[in-house]
Amino acid sequence: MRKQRFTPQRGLFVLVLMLVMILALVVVSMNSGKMNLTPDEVFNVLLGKGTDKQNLIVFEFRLPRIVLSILVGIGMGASGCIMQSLLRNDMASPGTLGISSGSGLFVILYVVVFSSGGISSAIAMPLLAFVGGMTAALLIFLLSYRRGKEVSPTGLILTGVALGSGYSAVTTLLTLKLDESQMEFVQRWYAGSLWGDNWKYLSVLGPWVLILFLYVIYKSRKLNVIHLGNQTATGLGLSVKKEFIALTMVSVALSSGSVALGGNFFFVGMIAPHMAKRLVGPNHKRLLPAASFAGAIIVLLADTIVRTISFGTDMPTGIVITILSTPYFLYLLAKAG
Amino acid sequence: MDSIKTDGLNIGYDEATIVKELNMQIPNGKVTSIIGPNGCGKSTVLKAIGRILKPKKGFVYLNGEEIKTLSTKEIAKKMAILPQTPTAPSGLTVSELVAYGRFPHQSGFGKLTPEDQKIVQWAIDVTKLNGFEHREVDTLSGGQRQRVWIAMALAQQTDLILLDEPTTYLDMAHQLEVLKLLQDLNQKQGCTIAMVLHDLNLAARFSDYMIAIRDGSIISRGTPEEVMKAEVLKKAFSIDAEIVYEPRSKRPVCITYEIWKEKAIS
Repeated sequence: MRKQRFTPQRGLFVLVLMLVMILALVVVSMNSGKMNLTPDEVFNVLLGKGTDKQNLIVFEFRLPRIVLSILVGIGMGASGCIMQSLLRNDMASPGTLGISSGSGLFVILYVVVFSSGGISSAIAMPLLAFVGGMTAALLIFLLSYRRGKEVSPTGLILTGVALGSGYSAVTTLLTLKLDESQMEFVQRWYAGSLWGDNWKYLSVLGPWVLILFLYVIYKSRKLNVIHLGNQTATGLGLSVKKEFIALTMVSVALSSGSVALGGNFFFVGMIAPHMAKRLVGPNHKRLLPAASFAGAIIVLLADTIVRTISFGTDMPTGIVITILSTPYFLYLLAKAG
Repeated sequence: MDSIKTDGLNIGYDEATIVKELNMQIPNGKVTSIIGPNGCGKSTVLKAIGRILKPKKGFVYLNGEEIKTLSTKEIAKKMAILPQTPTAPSGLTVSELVAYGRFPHQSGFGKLTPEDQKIVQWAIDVTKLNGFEHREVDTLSGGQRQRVWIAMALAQQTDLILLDEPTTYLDMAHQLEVLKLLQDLNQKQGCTIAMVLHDLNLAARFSDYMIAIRDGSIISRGTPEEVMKAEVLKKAFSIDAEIVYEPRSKRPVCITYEIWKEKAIS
């Protein structure tokens, strides 16, 4: 008989291992960048014994970016995991469903009208991204809903892909009205630039992501049941409609926070839950944290690579993720086919 | 006392009404089969009883209580329903899936209590899945998989279990295995079973009570002897059937049939 692949013990082991990896990446990331700091120096700074210049590098430049990477990764990983389970389709994610692009459109609209800056935008941008994401989600449902028939996940995703390109087109139209620096911001946002790396933005995004993350962990039992299909879930006593709507809103909120301050990370939301499934299995009590940690590792790793290797120009983190993820995605497609 | 009683039930999608003015009972402590031709509304009826489908009009009573007045969780403690060909997420083990049957009895994060674990083990024992606990559901054969789903329903600890065509896609031996398991649950554990079945002869062999439906209305109901009659099958399925009593189970079987054509038409 085949050995059991996913035990709770193994799941716990994997989760701890992932946390250790995140910590290790934080240390490496802390030491890498244009201005070199030795691990000793970084350690001294963390103990409060650094010079002004070192303090500035660590606390104002590197740490915020690291924290942002982790939060964006957690948000995208958890959001993608929820969407995949709700729709019972591995291709679902904020990116493929066009939810990120919907959020993006609203973010860009805000930039066009107000330009970014100030504490007001730290709160306004995730909120607007959420409104944009929810609008996108609602539109997908309205367009793929057929009365009396169960909504087909493939139909939803195709509708999402179509709408996503629509949002991108409108966004591009809007950028024509922008001056050069705003235009560059939009382009970099599209590539996933992790631009919101200062404490003002993080003080909003931190609680936003962590509270929602804890909420979905609490809901993991319900996600497990809804993952069996709507009819079976109803039979087991779950109020499917209510939970479906609540979980959709939470997943959109998780992705919009990340999208607003991190940029459009198309692949993280799809690939992180995949890797997690292979490592810890389909039980959401372990799958959700694993997907979130995997997301954090992917973004953090990509950002460390971007800051360690000089590509000549200041390259957006998302580009590296896309380049690294495309083969993985193609491999998944080939396996599914 | 009836487990389920419906009163003037209209069920349908959009403007189309599939089931009209249905008054039906599922007797307590018995095995009931709902039979009928494709598209007659038999699955629709089961879904409406199992509150998966909201009826357009009328009432469903579960042990005398109207189900609209009960929360879906309360219902799940009294009635389990298995949809046709449910699918388990890849990688889920038998014991995990069976443990999901404890869902309506849990709250919060839902850690399994020793009591829960005892019930899960009991459900695995009853369905003879011992040794398969750690196998992944999607690697099992069709018959084994169906037993796992039944075990999950058992872990719900309900008096009533509804099943939508539990023998679909199974070969003959596995069909028998599943139905014998259900019969056992009825006789030894006292579960009331109601199911939609495609195979008339299996329905007659394993049921105490049969309901024949056509175009959303009941054509006939009663014991297999009362329902398995040439006259009823003609009305329900438009077949000209030959019914005999099978020597082993002494139940009626349809040995051969011909498409029945009304002479007036042609």
